[in-house]
Amino acid sequence: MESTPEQILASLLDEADAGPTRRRSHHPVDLRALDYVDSYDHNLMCAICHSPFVRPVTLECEHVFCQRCISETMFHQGQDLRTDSATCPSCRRKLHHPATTPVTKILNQILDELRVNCPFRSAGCREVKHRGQIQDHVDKYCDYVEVECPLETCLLPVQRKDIREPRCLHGLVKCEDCRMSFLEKELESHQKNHCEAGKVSCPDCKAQVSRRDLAIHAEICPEAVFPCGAAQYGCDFSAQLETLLDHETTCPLVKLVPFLKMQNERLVAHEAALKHLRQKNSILETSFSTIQETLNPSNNNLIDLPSSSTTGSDTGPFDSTAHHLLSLHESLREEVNRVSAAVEHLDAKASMMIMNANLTIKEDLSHTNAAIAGMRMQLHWLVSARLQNQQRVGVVGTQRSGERLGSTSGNNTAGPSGSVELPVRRLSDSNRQDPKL
Amino acid sequence: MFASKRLGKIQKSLPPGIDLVSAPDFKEWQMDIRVLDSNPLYLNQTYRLRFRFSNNYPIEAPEVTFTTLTTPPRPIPIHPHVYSNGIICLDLLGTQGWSPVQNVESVCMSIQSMLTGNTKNERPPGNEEFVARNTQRPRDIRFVYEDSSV
Repeated sequence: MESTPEQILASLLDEADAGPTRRRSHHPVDLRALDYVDSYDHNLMCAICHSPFVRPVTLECEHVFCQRCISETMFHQGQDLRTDSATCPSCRRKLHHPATTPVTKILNQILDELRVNCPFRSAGCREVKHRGQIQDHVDKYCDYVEVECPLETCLLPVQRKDIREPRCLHGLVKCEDCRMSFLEKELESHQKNHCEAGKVSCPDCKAQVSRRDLAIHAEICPEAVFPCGAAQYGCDFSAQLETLLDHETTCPLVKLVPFLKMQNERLVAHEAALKHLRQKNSILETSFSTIQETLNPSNNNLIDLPSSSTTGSDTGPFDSTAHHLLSLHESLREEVNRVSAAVEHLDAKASMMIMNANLTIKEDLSHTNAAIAGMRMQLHWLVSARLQNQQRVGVVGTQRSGERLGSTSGNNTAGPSGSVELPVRRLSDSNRQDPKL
Repeated sequence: MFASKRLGKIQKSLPPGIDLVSAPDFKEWQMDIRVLDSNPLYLNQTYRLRFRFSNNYPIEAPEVTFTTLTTPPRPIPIHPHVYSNGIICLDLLGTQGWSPVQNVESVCMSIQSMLTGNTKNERPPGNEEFVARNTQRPRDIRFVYEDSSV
């Protein structure tokens, strides 16, 4: 070991501080010096610092201490934990194994969940945090931690809450009352607590109060006379605070105050709504009367129309007419709706009928077409039969008897029979395209 | 530091025969101790202990001595390990014997039991010479623990 005691101590302390979650900070919090809000099991207390363990380690003999406590102890005794000469503070057993071992994670979690007061409580911070979060709170959020002045050339510290506006509060300002100079950041506390010149006496209780606090004091001054809380609803009692408190527990009007207040609010809301409606109404009425004048100069028929306004009856004739007109307008609109619906209905019906008629006509047409085609075929057949007959008459001539020829010509629709008929049919069969076309 | 916090805890409850007289700060405390059994050497006597804490407490041992007072009467007990100037020869209070897990309460109890178990009505050997020439702080004195039976 060549290193000096200071170096050893520094390295030991570094070891104790260099946890994975610890951040570098201007104000490293010594967790052992914290004020614990929660009560904790006495078994969680380090026997050296009497605080809940901070980064506890186990020795070979299974005694547990804060890493920093045991490091400092060993160093002070001239013993280094890394040598073999260390003894346990609790049982004085020699520790042969040089290293300490960390305890289980769950123990650390239990310890980190203990709630502590912010270390800057004396400066005014009222936060209560889990121990595991207190370093973060001090580093980033605590309003009462002293941080660097926003002005780069200024070296004086300032509390974090005072740097919301980035300006140096270390200039000298004068207190308006006592003409003494203070740093700007201290002025407020001076005026509030220390400045004698700024004090005025309360007109009621003669107490010396800072002029700025007079308004606050006036509301709680024990000597001042206050009216009863239900003064605006008719209670004319007034007394000093103490008597007033007694009175207000018995005063029936005070009990009604919330209800009356609610009623007042509703009344105001209703009046506003009424005003709005009136305006709307008058606009409607003027426009309607213009329409009325252009359409029908006489108002007689309005009276005949059904008036559904039941609410209008109690608000005077002015409103009634307007309602009447409105209902008239409404009924007309309904009528129009009805008519348009009927028209639509009729339209649909008519188009349906047309479609039906169309279908029958189409069917008839196709029937007719078919009949015409049949007739055409027959005609064709007749024509070709006649032509063949004429040819045969020309070729056979005298071989056939005259009666036979006569019977054929007389029976022209029934067609030729026997050997004459067959070839004709075949011809007609082969020419079938005609009727198809 | 956290040591001051730790010292603050003791005021809550103390074992019988041990009383906190004054603790104005975390530098020096006064405690009264009595022997509880009927040891004739210390019967009906109360002794005043003075604790001095360094900044390194509890890593470093406190300096514990008996002091005398006339009102109320607080003598220095006769004991083979207590010098007549109030210095106590107890391994617990030396650099070697001290352990940071000790506290004011446990030190008082150790001294209490040291007195209780004693039967010899005598000062340590070489008392006069030691009292006359000693200028060291009690903590730094390297006592020879001749007799471990008391």
